[in-house]
Amino acid sequence: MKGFFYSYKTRIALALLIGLLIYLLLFSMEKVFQIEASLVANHLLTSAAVSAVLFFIFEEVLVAFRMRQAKLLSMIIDALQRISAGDLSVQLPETGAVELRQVSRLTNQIVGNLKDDISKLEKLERVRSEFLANVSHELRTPIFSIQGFIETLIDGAIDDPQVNREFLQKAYEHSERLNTLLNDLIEISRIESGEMRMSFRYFNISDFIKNVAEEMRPKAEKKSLQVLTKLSGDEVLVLGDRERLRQVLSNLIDNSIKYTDEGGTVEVGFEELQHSVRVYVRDNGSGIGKEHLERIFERFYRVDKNRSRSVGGTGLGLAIVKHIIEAHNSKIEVKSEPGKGSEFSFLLKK
Amino acid sequence: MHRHFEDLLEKLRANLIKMGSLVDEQLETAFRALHDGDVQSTQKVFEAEKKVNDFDNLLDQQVDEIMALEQPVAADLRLVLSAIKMNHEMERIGDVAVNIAQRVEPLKNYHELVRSTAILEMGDVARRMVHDSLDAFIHADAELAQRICREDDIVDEMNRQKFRFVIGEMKKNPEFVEPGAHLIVALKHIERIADHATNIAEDVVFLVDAKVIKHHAADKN
Repeated sequence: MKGFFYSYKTRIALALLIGLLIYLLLFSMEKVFQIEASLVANHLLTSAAVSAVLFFIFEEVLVAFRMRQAKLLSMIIDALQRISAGDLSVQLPETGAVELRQVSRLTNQIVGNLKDDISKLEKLERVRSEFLANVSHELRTPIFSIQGFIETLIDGAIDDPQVNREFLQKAYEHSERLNTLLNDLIEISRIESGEMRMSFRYFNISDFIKNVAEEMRPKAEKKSLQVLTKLSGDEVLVLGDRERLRQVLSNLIDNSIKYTDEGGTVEVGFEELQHSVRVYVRDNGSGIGKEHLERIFERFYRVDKNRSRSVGGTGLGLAIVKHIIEAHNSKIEVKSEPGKGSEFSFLLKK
Repeated sequence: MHRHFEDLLEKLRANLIKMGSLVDEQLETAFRALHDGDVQSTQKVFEAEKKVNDFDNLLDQQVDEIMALEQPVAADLRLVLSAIKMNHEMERIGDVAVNIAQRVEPLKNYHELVRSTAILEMGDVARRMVHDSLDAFIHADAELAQRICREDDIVDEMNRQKFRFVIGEMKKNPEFVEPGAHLIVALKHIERIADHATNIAEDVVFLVDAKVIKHHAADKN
């Protein structure tokens, strides 16, 4: 391309050279081929004039094109400088030569990705600080209670047989709660850091559900709830970490017991599908509003803060459940209607 | 055709895990029965043995079919070769679980001797080795498998210590001669469990890293 943009002196020299060549050509034609020189000269002059005009237009177009590309390049450089200075509002027009269009498109893509990453990091940071605030709050509540009871005992209540045992009992209950909370926190951090290795084995799902339901039955009976199991007589083997799934099922049944009023029922069972088994825990309890359904698996998210505290949850149970089920390459599903009940379910590979 | 081959390998893997799950449970039941002196629950160990043997035959058939019809290569071939060896090791662990379960009856009235020998402590290490070797296979975790191989020495040392202890008890009290003999047999069985678990772990290293580490072959190279 550079050849089209010589200086004027070079152009004049080139024109003289071409003229000389034409003269020599005409001279040789007349002498060697005996052709009428004026006829040929006329032809050549017309062609030369047309070529000169075409050459001029072509050159002007190329100059314009080159200037436009240079302008686009300087826009890209300017944009990259702004990006490196942290300005992500940059948006380049995707025009110009193919290569420039590509550079502009890639730059826009990088800016888009950076924006996404930053917003993800901001969200993570927000979640982290919310988590810290929640953990501090959740830890503080039982610690303050324990301190309160012990302080009252030290201040003299220890000699009062009416209250001393009761206060000690309450302090003990709060320390238990603290222990449960810390265990859940350790558990969730182990799962999230990938430190917890799943021990996948094949086991009989009917026996498994029956065992867990039996373990939970006394707790349900205390609230006059019925625990029903819907199982199959045949041996159906599923692949999963039995101990972790025991934790999942106990947690789901425990939640159903907590949020179902006296006289209600909790049903645990499974359905056999082609390549998997769907395990469910269903109740006819208070149910969960649609606006809460997406958030109930978040750590410390509570649908009804006062009620959750009164029933004694740590706020981490469902987050742990979700992590364990995801470690099984599955997903926890929830269907619920306020006032009618909830159903939590997940799939396990057969 | 290719899909069919992948299905065959997947079924082979699934059956290995199913067999491993049975053997793992068999060992757990046998040790618990030994600890509790619960002769009744040993029945489960004997029943599971039949299923383990069925899996042994099934896996042999699957391996024959894959070798004859598909001629696997590279990682697929390593899986099939490992399956042959793992199948054999797991079948042997199942037999050993049965042998331990058979010791429950003659030892049920010597709970104090069983407890003081701390045979279950050794059993726990061996059982964990089997459990971890299966995990290593399922997760294709060669690092975990290498760790299991190192644990075999712990069980060997425990075996030597406990053997001396039981002989001492037998010398002190002639009443302990018969249960002591059963305990020594059980100790030998547990030591064998650890050996089988080590062999499975070595197969996992071969499967994942294509490296032979048995009999310290890797050190010699």
